Amino acid sequence: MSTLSPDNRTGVSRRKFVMTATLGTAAAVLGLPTAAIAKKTKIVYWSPLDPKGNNARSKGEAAMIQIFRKQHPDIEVEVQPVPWQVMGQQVIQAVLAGTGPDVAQLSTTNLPDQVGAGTAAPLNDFFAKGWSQAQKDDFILPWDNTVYDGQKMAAYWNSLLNNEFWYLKDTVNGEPPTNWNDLPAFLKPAADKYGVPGFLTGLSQQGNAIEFTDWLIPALWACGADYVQPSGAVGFANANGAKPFEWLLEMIHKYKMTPDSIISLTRDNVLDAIKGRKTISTILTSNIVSPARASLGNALGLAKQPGPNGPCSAFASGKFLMMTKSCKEREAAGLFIEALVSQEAQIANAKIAKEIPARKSVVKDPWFSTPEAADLKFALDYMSASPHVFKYPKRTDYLQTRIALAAQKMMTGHPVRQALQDVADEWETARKA
Amino acid sequence: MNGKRRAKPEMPAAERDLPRILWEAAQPYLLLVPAMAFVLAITVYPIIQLFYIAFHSTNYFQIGAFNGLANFAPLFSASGAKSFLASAIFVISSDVLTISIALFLALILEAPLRGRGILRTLIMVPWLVSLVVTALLWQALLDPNFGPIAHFAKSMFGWTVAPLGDETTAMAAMVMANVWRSYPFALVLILAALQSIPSELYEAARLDGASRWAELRYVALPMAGRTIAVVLILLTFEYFTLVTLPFVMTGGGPNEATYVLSLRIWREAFTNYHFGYSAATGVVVFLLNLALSAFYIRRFVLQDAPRVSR
Repeated sequence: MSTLSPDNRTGVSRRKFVMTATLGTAAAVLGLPTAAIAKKTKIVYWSPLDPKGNNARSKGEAAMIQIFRKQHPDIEVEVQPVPWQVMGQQVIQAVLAGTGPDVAQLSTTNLPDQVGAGTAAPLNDFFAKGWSQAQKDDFILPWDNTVYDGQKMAAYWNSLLNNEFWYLKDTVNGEPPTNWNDLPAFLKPAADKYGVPGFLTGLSQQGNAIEFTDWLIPALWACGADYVQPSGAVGFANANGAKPFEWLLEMIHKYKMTPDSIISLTRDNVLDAIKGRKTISTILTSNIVSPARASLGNALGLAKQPGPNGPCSAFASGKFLMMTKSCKEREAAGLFIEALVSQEAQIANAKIAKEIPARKSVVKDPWFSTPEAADLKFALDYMSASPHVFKYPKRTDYLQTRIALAAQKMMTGHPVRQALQDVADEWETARKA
Repeated sequence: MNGKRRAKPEMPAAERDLPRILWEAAQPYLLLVPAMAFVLAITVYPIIQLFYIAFHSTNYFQIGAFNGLANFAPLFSASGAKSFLASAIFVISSDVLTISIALFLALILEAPLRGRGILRTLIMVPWLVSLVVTALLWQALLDPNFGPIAHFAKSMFGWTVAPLGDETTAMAAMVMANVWRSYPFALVLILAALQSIPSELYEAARLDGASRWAELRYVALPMAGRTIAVVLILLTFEYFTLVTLPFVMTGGGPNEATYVLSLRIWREAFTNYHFGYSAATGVVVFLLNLALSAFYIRRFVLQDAPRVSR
């Protein structure tokens, strides 16, 4: 019943309002089909990339997720960005607290520890069911790299080349040498002319020291040493293992091509330095070529990592997708992982983000023969010309940070062999703890 | 039957009231139960669990058998000694500098200056900046390639400066960043303490011919002493347990020069997955904090109490 309020405005009586609201709510609840009000299946995905980020890598992953959304409109995906440096720890903490994501994208070094900590859920029943061996062999990185005790614990989201030699083409004469002993002579004129270091790397323990170990591990292989032997013991506490460290010390102290300040530099610092033309060369990973290319254009040159007797082997790894133990929607999570590693999603990411795909069949796409894909082609050729199959051990983050610390000690005068033996001893204690 | 009931002797009044008395006596404690349960769950239980893990072997997150003091062994290595030293330098330097700067600024801000309100607001700004931002800000300032300090040193004097690349200057930089961020907290409390000192005390001191220095020494400092002690305790706790700043700014380097105990706790747990070592370090930090706070309270609060209350 309408009433007239003292200021002559038409009002609604309280009784009428309550009745209308009650009837309206009842009609809405009863009248709508059950499916429309049923909860949509939802998965939470932790990614180091922010889907709203205005950069190629974020856009690439957003396109991959969009492909899944089109295929499965009944499944909602919530992407939660987490910085890559802390992703491993965050996943462990959250999963053990029961609040972890359904799926997470992690760096290749993290998988052994996720398996060890019991935070990864086997994918066998939810991913690649009924796949043939040929389909499994379609991955650039070995299928078994993510298999533990016969269980498939993760699927590669992309492939990575960890050891590309980056240099400023417009500052040097000719192609870089493949032997690292020739590198100082190659870099010196440019370093002197521009007053910047000839070669930069980072020995900081931040980011689990990957900036250093990404190129150190293939250098160890090239010197006849090893990172970790099949027995689990380190393989670099010997004369051959000392060679890459001695080379770096010569670059610092003898040739003055590398400054002392590398002791505190991180991968991001090194990337910023080459983007800002504050160094002539460095060694970085393939997945960050595109932001550097955006800054440097054609001035950025890529080459194989110089070694003691010619180029080092390609050190390939990859980011992977892992279903967590706290995953509540395992079927949906399996579908999500399959969609992201599908040819369609992989080619989309390669084109947008310039990421090396996880699948070999994707590389056959004509796009990879275009100039736009030249950087990826270089990495793929390097990887196929000199591959070195490698599976990280458990507690590799610990080992990497100890190696970086050993290198820091060497810079302050600690004997190389002694520093490496200290790491070997610490590693033995740690892995048996 | 009724007759028998009637024949029963009446209970004394005190006995009759016993349930009510007990209920009334228990009521305050019952009301405290939810709060106590909450405190036990979020404070006492984790501490007990910390001690339990510290004396047991661990494999990732699985707690194994009792292993005595084995988890404490890494603390007595060269690396452990560096962490103790780094923590001591970091906490003591930060405490001394923060309290000194805060006291100095509090004395200035207490004076009737023009624009005192704006000055007070500006001085509080660092407190509003988060720790991560503080760390990144100082890291950027000190960056050897792009930092303004390095640029200035290079362009003016031709020096190559990399403060975070040297053991001594990295620690100094971390202390500076920490002091910059935390002095406003100390300043607010010390300023409040100074402002609460009755002006009659200063007037009496002046009548006795006291100089400005004597006013500070014999009036301001004793009267604000308790507050300063409390600030010192709070800051010491905070500095001892600070992870973000060393984690973001230096990562514990170079050469473990800034690998403070708190960062060690974090890294042992979440990089090395040695929860036993991490818990053992946590126990040591807990006991150190306990001992330090007991010392501060005995030395500064209890000892000064009679003097202040006079």
